[in-house]
Amino acid sequence: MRYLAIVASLVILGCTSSQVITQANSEKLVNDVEFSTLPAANTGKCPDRIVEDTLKFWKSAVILANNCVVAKNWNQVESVGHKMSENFPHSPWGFYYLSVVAEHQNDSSRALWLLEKAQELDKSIALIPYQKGRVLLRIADHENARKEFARALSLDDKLPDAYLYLGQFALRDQNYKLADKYFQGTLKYQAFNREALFGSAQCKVQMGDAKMALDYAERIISSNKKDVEVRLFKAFVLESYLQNLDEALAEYRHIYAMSLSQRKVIIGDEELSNKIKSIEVLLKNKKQNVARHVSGVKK
Amino acid sequence: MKSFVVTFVIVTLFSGAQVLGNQNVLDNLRIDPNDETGNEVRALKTEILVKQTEQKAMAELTKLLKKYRGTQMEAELLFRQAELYMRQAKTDRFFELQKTNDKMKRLAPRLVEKASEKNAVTKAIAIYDSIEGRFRNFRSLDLVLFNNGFANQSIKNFSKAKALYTRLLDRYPDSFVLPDAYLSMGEMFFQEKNFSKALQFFLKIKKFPEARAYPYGLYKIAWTHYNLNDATSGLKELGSLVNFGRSVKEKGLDSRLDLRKEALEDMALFFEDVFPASHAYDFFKTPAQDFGVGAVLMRLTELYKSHSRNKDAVVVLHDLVERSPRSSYLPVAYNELAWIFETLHDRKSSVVELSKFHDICKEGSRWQKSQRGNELEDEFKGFSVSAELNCQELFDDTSLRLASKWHRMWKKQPQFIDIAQSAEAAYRLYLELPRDTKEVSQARFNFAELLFQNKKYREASENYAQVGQSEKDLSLRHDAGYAALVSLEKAVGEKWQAEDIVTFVRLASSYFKGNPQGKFLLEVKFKLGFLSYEAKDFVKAKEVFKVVGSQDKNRDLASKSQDLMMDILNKEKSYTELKNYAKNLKGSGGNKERNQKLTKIYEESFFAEIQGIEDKQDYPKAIAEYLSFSKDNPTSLLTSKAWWNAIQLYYRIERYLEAAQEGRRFAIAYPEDNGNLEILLKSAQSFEKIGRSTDAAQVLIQLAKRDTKQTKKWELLAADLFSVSPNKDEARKLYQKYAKLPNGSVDANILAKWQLLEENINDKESLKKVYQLVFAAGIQPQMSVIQIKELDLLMASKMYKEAFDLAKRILGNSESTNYAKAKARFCQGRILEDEFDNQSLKSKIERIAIVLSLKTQRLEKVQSAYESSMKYGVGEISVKAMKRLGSSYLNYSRALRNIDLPLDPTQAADVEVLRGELEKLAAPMEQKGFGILMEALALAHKFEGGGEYISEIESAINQNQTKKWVPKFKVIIEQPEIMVPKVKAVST
Repeated sequence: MRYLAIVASLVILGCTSSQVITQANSEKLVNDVEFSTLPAANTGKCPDRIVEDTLKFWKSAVILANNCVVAKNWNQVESVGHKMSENFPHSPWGFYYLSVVAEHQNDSSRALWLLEKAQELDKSIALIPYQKGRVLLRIADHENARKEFARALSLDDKLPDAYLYLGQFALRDQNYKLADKYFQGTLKYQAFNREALFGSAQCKVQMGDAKMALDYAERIISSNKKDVEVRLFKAFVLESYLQNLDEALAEYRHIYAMSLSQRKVIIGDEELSNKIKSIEVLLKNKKQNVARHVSGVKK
Repeated sequence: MKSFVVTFVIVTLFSGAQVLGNQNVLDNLRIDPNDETGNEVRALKTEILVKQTEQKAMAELTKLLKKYRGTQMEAELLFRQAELYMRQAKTDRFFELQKTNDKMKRLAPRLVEKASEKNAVTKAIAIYDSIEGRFRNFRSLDLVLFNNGFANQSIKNFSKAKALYTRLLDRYPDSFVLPDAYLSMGEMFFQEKNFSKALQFFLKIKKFPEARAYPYGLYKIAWTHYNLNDATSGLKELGSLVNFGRSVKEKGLDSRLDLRKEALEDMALFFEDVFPASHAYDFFKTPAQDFGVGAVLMRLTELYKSHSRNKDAVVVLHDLVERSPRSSYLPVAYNELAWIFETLHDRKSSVVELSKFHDICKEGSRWQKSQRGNELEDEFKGFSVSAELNCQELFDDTSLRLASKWHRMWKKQPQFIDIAQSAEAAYRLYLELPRDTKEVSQARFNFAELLFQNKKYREASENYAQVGQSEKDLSLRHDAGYAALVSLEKAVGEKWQAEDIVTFVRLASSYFKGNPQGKFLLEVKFKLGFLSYEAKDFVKAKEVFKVVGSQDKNRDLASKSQDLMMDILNKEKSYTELKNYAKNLKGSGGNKERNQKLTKIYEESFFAEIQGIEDKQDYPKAIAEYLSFSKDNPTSLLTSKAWWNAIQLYYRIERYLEAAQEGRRFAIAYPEDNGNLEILLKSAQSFEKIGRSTDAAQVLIQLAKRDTKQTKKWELLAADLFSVSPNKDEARKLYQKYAKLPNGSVDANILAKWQLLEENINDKESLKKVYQLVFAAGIQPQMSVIQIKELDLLMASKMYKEAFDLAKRILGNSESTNYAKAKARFCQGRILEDEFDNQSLKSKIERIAIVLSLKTQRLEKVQSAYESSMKYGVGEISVKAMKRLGSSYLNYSRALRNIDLPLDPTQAADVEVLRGELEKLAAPMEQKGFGILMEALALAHKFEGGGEYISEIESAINQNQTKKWVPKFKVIIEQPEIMVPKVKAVST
C-alpha cells in the first residue's frame, strides 16, 4: 500500500504534464501482441551494440527487448526500454521493460512507478497488472498482488501463472471450489502443469471426487515418477478415500523404496514404515477373515 | 613741258620700282583677308618699298634741282619736291602709327623710329613758302597756295591755312581749286564750330555744280544747317544731294560724286529731329526709291535706338514690315523689333515679332518667294545697316540668343515666369526647323533644361531624349540621355503607367547604348530595377538589383539595391535565398550599422525560412534548423525564440526526451527568460512522462532554484522522483532536508516517504535515523510499526528478554496502535509459552505436585498473555494466539499423559493412582485445547487472510484428535513467471 501512495504523488505531476502535452493520434502499439513466457519469447540474440534503426519500429524493438530479457542483459533491456518510451510515447512497452529491469535490480518502488505509468497509457493490457502482481509478491504484499493478478485475468485469461497463483491462494484458504476453478484456468493452457494438477487434485478430494484427484495425481506421476509428494498423495487417496489398500500399500512401499532425501522431508522413514506395517496388518487380517469365511463356507 | 618732265621722272621712278619688283614680290604683297598679321607685314613691306622709291625719287629730284637751280625748272621741281614730301608725309604717317606696334618696330626699327608726318609736311610747307616767295610768277602759284593751305590745315595750322586760302581766293578768282578752297575754309570753320562762317564758304560751292567738291559741299551745307539747329534746311540740302546723286548716276558720271547713301542716312538723322516716327515711311519713300526705304528706315531705327527712342523705332519698323512686306530688310526689321521689345522688357511682343520673323523665314513663305532670285546689290552695301537675305540664319541667331538670354535671366530671377515663358517660346521657334547641328542640340538641351526647370518634365524628357539620341558630343549626349530619364521620372511621379515604363526602358536602352561608360549607368539600371519592382516584375527587378547591389562604385545605390532585393525575396517568401543573400552581404564588409541591419535580416529570414518549413509540417527539419539557428546566432534576439520553437515542435511530434533536454539547456542559457519556469516544468513533466525519473528530478531541482517561492514543492517532487530512480541518495537528502520543520517538529508525510525509501533501500544506518526521528516525534502508526518490526527481529533472534521489554514498552505507550499492542502481547505470550514448554515435568513422585503447579502457573501466564492479545481485536493475531494457546493445552495434556514416573515395583500402585490423577488433569486440558483450536479455526475462516492458518489449525486438531498419520501437503504459493509481450506471427 505504501508503494502505491508514493506513486500517487508522482501521478499528480504526470497529470499536469498530460494537460500540456497533447496526445493526438496516439498509437499505443498493442495490437498483434500476445503474451509469452521467456523461453517462448526468445527469437534471437541480444546484441552488444544496438542498432538505432531497430528501435524505430516497435515490433522489432519488442523482439529485441525480449531477447535481451532472456539473455538477462539488463543494461540492454534498459536501453531498449528507454528508447521505446522515447520513440513510442503512447505505447506502454517501454515502461514495461524498464519495470522488468527495476524488478531485477530489486528496486520495487521504481518498478511499480513504471508500471503505473504503463497503466496510465493503457489500462487494457493484462501484462501490466500481472507484472505489478509479481513485483508486489517480491515485497510480500500478497493482498495487492492477488488483486493485480485477478485484474490481469479479467483483461486476458491467457495467463496460466496468474491462475495458478490465485488457485494456490484459494487452496490455502480452503476455498476449494474457487481454487479448482483457478487451477483449471492454468490447466486449460498447461495441461501438465504439476502445481495446477496437484492443487486441483487436492480440491477434488475435498470436493468428493477422489477418482478425478487420483487421475490428476497419476498425470503428474506419469510425467515425473519420482514426485514423492504426489505419490504420497495418491497412496493416501487410495487408502483413505478409495479404500484400495493393496494399491495404497504398493504405493507406500514404492515410496519407501525410493529413499529419497525429498521424501524424507515429507515423511520420515519410521512414519512411512509404520504406515506400511499398519496396512499390512489390516490386509493380513482382511485375508484371514476372508479365508475363514471361505473355509466356513466350504465346511 | 617741265611739268611733263617732272611727271615723267616720277612716273619713271615708280615704274622702275614696279620693274624692280618681280611677280613674287607682288604675290608677297597681296592682301590675304584671312591673315591679319600677315597683312600687316605685307603693308609694312609695301610702305618700305614706297619709302625706298620715294627716297630714290627725292634723290633724283635733288639732283635735278642742283642741275636746274636758278632756272625756270627749279620752281617746277620744287613744287614736285613739295608734293613728294606731302606724299612722304603719308608714308611717314604709316610708320609713325607703327611706333606702338612692337612687331613692326622689330621689322623696320629705323624707319619706324625716324618717321614723322609733321616733319615731312613741314618740309613741304617750307618748299611751298619758298616757291611763293621766290617764284611769284610761277604758273601754278594758285596750286602752291592751295597745297600750302592744305598742308598747314593738315597739321592744324588753321590760321596760316586760312591766310593762304584767302590769298588764293583773293588772287585767283578763276582758279579751278576755288570750290576746294571754299570747302577747306568751310571745313576749318566747321571744325572750329564757327558754323555760320563755315556756311558762308560752303554755300559758295553751290556756284560750282560741276566741281568735284559740289556734292560734298552740299553735304557740308546740310550738316552746317543741322549744326545751326536748322535740321529742316539740312534735310532740304540733303534732298538736293540725293537728287544730285541720282543725276550723277543717270548721267553716268564719276560715282564718287554720288553721295545719295550718305545723304539718305544723314536725312534719317535730321529727320529724327524734325518729324515724328510715323511720318518716316512716307518721308523716305520717295528719296530712297532707288534703294528701297528699308535701308533708311533701318538707319533711322538705329538712331532712335541710340537715342533710346525705342518706341519710335518700333513705329518705323512696323511701318516697314507692314508696308514693305517684300523688303529685303524685313528679316533685319523683325530682328530689330524683337531686340527692341527685349530692350523695352516687352518679351511678349518680342516673342510675337520673333514668331512673325520665323514665319517669313519659312521655306515657301511669301517673303521667301518674293526674294527668289534676289541678290543684294553693291549699292546696298553703302548703308550702315545692311539688308539680310539669309533670313533663317538671322532668325536662328536672334531667337537663340534671346532664348538663351531670357533663360539666363529667368534663372537669376525665377519669380518672373513671363521671362521663362518667352524663353520657352523662343526656343520653340528656334527648334521648330529640324536640324542636326551641335548648336541646335545644345539649344534643345537648354530648352529641355528650361522645361525641366518649369516642371514640364515630360516635354523636357522628350527634348532631352532627342539630344541624347542624336548628339555626337559625348558629354552632352550623356547629360541629355540621363536628363531624359530623370525628367520622365519626374513627369510620371509616383504612379507609373505601362506606357511610361515602356518609354523609360526605351530611354534607358538609348542611354546605355550611347553611353557605355555613362556616369549614371548604375542609377539608371537601378531605376529600371525599381520600376520592375514596383510593377511586381520581380524576376527582372532581381536581375538588376543583383548587378547593382554587387558593385562598389556607388555604395549608396548598392545598399538600396540590396535592400530592395531583400524586400523582393521577402515578398516572395524566398527566405532561404534571402538568408543566403543577407549572409553574403554581411560578410562583404560595410559599416557597423549596415552590418547590424543585414545581420537582423539574415536572422529574420533564417527564422522565417524555418517557420516555412514548420508550416509545411516538416517538423524534424524545422527543429534541426531552429537549433542550428540558435547555435550559429548566439547573440540574436531571435535565438531564444528559435530555441523555444524547437522545443515546442519537439513536443508537437512527441519527442519528449529531446524536448525536455533542450528545455533544460534553454533554461540554463536564458536564466532571465520569462518562460523559464514553464519550460522547466514541461521538461520535468516530459522526463517523467518517458520514465526518466532522474532527469525529471534534476530539472525540478533546477526549477526549485528559479521558482524560489515554491522551492520546497519542487524539491519534494524531485525527491519523490529520485525515490523511484537509481539516485535514491538524492531523495534521502531532500527528505532529510524537509523532514524537520522550522518549529522543531517533523513533517509526518515526508518522514513516511523517507522511511519508505530507506526500507526499500534497506540501509540500516539511515533507517535508524529515520526511526529515531519517528520515535522522537512519537509519530503513529509509524512508531508502532517500527517497534513491531524490531520486536519481530528480536523474536527471530530469540532475544526474548529484550523482546519482552520492548513489548512491555509498546504496551505501556497509550499511543501504540492496537495491532502493535496485540502483537506485543502475543510476543510476550510466545516468550511465556517458550518458558512453559521448557519446563520439564520430570521429577520424583513426591515433587510432582509442585512441578505441575509451577507448570500450570506458567500456562496461566501464557493464557493470560494470549488472551490479552486477542482483546485488541486483530484477527490474524487472535487466530495465531488461539492456535498457540490451544496447542499449549494439548501439549500440556499430552505431557501429563506421557509423564515419566518411577518404574519401582514398590511404587507401582502409587504410580497407577498418580496416572489416574494425571489423566483427570489431562482430559479436560485436552478438551480445552481442542475447544480453543476449534475457535481459532472458526475465527480463521472469518477474516480475510485467515486462510493462511486454517490448514495448520486443522492439522493440529487432526493430529491430536485422530492420533492418525495424515500427510502434510503444504500449499506453496508459486511466484508467477515473468511474461513479456510477443509479437504475433503473421499468418498467411
